[in-house]
Amino acid sequence: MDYASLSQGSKLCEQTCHLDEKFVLQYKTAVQDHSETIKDSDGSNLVPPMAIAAISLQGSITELKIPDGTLHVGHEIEINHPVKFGEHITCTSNVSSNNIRGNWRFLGIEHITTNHSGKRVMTSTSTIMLPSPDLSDGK
Amino acid sequence: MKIGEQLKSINKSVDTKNIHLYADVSGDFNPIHIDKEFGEASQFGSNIAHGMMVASLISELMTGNFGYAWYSRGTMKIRFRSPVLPNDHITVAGKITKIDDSTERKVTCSVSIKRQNDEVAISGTTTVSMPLKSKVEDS
Repeated sequence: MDYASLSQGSKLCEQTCHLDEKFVLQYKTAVQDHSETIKDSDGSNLVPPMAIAAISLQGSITELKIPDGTLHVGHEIEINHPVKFGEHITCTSNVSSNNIRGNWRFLGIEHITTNHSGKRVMTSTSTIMLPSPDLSDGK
Repeated sequence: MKIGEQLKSINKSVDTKNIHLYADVSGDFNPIHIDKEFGEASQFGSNIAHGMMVASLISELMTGNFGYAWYSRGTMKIRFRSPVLPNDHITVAGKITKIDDSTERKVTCSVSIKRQNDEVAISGTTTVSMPLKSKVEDS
């Protein structure tokens, strides 16, 4: 992956995911979240926001083929709408910034997540720090 | 609810098993998280927990204190300041820093996650918005 070529606005990926009960339970087990499930006004079970954030990152992690030792340094999340168990969501990831500081490349990635009807459910930006830009660029 | 009020905090331990489960859920198999030898050779001397796995506890904190409102209109802006290692005991805490009732109720909180040695692993700001005069659902 030529990380230097990733300019602001470059589209990285778009992926659709099914947030079924099995996925939510796996997520809650992993993060040891033993709290009761939050319900919508119609009684539907709702997906924890950070489960949506985790799966929204998945596509860009795969697409970027991030080098070993990459670190996540910051994250911003805006929850726009609740998501029910069983919904399909689509996440589009774009490059929002790409800078070098010292021996590290700082890459900002914006994730826009929508539900089956196209309504935005979450907007998030992750900042990751890639080691040794020279090596990462394959030079 | 008033400025300066402490949110109900959460204490947890992080272990290797949960880190591996989170890798499966998130698709993030960066060896810094799951490869013992890679972790030991890294600058941390150990594997580290995924930042988003640890950050999920801030969402759990907000859910415990604001319920449905967090799932529908929350924001979170965080910095990953130091890694959380397997077998760390962490405390997630928050405090209300601002309440804006101008058009709707918007509550701003400072949040942090500290390791057992008081080192800050994550710090940041969250907001949650809700209609005026509505009570926070505990669902």
